[in-house]
Amino acid sequence: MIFGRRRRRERDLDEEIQAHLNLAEADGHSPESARRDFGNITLIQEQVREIRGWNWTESVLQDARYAIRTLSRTTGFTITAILVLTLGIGANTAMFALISTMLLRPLTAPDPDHIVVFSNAKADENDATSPAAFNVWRQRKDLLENVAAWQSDGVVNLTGGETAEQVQEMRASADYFRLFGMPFALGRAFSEDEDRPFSGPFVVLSNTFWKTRLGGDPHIQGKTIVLKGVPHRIVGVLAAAYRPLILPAPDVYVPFRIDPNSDDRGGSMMVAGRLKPDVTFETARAKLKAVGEDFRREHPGALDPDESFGMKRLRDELYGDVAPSLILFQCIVGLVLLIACANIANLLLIRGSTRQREMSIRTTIGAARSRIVRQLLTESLMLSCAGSVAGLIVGVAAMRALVNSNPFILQWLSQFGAVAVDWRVVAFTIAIAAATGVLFGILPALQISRPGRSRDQGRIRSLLTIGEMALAVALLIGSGLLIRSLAALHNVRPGFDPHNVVVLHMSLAEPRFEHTKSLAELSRESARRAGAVPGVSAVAMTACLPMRCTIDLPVIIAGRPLAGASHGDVYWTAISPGYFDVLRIPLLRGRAFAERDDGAAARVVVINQAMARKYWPNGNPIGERVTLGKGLGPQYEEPPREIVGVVGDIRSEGLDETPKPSVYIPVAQLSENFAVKLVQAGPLTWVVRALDPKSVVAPIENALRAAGGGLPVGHVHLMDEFVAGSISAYAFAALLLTIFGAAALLLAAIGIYGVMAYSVQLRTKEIGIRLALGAEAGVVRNRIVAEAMRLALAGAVIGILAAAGLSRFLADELYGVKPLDLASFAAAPVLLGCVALFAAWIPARRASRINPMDAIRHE
Amino acid sequence: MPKRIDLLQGTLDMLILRTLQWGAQHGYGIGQAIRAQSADVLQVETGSLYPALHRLEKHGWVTSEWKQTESNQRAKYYRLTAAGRKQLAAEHARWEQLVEAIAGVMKPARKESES
Repeated sequence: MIFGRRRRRERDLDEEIQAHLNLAEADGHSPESARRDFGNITLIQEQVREIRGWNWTESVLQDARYAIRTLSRTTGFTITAILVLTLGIGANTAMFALISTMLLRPLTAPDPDHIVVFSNAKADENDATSPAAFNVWRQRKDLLENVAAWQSDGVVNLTGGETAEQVQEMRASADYFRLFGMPFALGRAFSEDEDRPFSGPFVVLSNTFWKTRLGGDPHIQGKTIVLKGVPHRIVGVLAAAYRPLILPAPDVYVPFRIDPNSDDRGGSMMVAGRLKPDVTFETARAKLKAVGEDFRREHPGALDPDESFGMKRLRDELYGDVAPSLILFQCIVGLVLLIACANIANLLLIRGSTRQREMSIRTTIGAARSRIVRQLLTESLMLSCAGSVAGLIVGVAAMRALVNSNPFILQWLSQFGAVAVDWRVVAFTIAIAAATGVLFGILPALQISRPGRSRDQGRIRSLLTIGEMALAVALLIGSGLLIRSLAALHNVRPGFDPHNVVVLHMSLAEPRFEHTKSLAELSRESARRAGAVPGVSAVAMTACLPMRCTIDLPVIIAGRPLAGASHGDVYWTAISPGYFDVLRIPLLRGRAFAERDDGAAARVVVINQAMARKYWPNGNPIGERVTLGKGLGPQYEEPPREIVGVVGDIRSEGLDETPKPSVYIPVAQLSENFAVKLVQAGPLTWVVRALDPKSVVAPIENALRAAGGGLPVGHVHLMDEFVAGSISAYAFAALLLTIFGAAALLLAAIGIYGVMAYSVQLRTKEIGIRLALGAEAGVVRNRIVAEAMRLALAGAVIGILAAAGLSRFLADELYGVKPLDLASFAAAPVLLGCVALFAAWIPARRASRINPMDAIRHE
Repeated sequence: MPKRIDLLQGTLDMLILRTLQWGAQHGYGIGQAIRAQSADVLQVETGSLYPALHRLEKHGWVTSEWKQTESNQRAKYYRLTAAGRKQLAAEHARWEQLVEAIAGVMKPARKESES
């Protein structure tokens, strides 16, 4: 339509001009003079078009067509520019896709901004809390509704079928399903009655579990499945569309059944609720803090001095830890794009200088400068659009691959499934295409449209190159810091030997194992059977595996004055004899556990070196007595134990965490109450040292299954994996920054090569004359290299200064490396210098080989 | 040959409208008319004339149609519209105001130089 009308109008104008010429001829002018008098037909056409609503879509389309024509004439330039932009924009889009997925997408819960999570407001600790705290929250109906508690039980045993298997279980209070708006395919959530203590066993199934394990039986409601040796009545099945927000994703949910009068102050459950519509986050937080102070007074010792009743938004609870890193990386990747922009601005300037003639002609036939600038900007925008489309595709694919290669990051994303291309990512890409197109295009466009200023252009090109170098050096220093952190972490000794250790899990959550005696028996029997497998050198069981779990309990040292409720918290685990052999944790003093340390023998404990140093800096802890768990409630209390040994420290929380005071007790000496809690809280862990761990997994599984009377064995891993997993966030950061740094380096190399190659080309004649007059080829070459290196040096200095100012923002991502690490600050400029040298060498050598005669004839 | 004077910005529109007051005319005719009426002093460049005509048409002050000339040639004739008439009156008034104002400024200067 638009085009039809436009064409008609164009024809009309042509005819009108022709008519004018005819009339002039009829008036007695010769055709030539008529034509001459008429003047610049093209200009008139342009102006009339401009007046005639030549509306902007038409002119943009015309500009675009022209841009495509000119760009396709210089394919080398166009491809380089699009590749550079794909790299720069792709990296940004990829990073933003991750941010959009994790930080901007609505969570899969109704009105998630009003869901708040209980937080104990202690730095560096998770927000696990106790039944007592849950009851306090539950009572504040003036502030919160749908207060829910949940806790993963890990795997439990599903029996009653042909073979027993492990399924993921979560304990959830009745309101959990309502709080997170979980839709049901069949049935309903637990009622309040079903969630009371001593109510019968009920279960809600995940859709996947219902479909895969129960064949999607539509009449499943009211039937039972046997979990933990007890038949559970099925009350509901979740809808297929529901993606669990809280991980690990459960197969089955069982009611939490927390006693509304419970005073239990130990526990590792999570609590959340929904703010009442008229209550603001700040009000609720202030009031709950006051409630926490009351709680502290009523239950001395239940809260550490630095602990209180805090509150977090749901998104902060889920992603608060990673948000600052993600945003930091987005800023860093923005630098890569800046380098790309400087690079293309440079290429455009060089290309512009070969278009002087075109510009002169266009100006002469009357093109306004603004019109030329618009045309040149259209070319830039065409480039950035092409780069953005390619960047979006390549970037998102690359980010998916990166995320999939890192289980740690993948786990954060499971709620959403994958790194997504949503409307935010598309909008971001469009915005970035427009911004970069203008950013790298405007300066060259202004320069090129004003012919005859080549000296200025040379200066601008040098400045752009210096800027590129500076950004690249700063980025490389950043990647250097992260790589050095990762290397430092790889050199950290965890305090145990994770190689050749298989980790297996068995859930003992069944009435028959809720006694210390049966636990001890199982541990003995499994060690005997698995130990008999050829190639196995040691077998042990533990309640809590390093890198995977920590349990902390208050400790009281006998015979010491007590200021507060305890002498501090220590990490606790129960182990079977042989544990220190499997993990090769060195015994420093006294003895390890033996079979004789059973329920009938004297109560004993082994401590680690950190604990010995903290509590007996000068003395000998052997023979001293400690009481563990006092003050947490009756389930945890037990008589004092005697310290019989001191073992080396291990990093139980991850390679980046320093060892904390820890105690080990024999499984056979667990208090009965604690044994019940332990088997209910999750599967127990077996560790087996073998020469060739992978080959013995099957026989060990059989041995353990036999020892447990047919209990399923699952979640089999190598200890190495867990150790690597504890630093996977660092690995991911280092990988990302290495990719960004490599991209920056490549871009900087392209930049300096382009500038030097062009400078040589411009000076072909001059160089030719010099050579003809007897200048040595080597001298010519070195002069050009020196010129390039001056730019690189200036860039490096600025880059180092910038990095020195900015590297402290990386401090949280670093381990064992100072933000002003000398090695990183020295290596980055050297690396860049080498790349710049190489990039400048090629044009410099070409210059030194110029044939004087050809050069003088050149243009 | 009399000295040619460049047209003041904006006065071309007024002149065109004025020329069309006597009836529809094509571009070439308008140029010739202005030249003749000004005794060859005002020479309208085609480079200004046609853009001006199209501008006036876009504003709705003139309309155009293709017609035969007396010498039986096809030409595009422009005709003043009612809005064009109003515009001409307004521009004419402003022009007179301007001339008066300029004259007012210039007069005392001449007197001084005479004395």
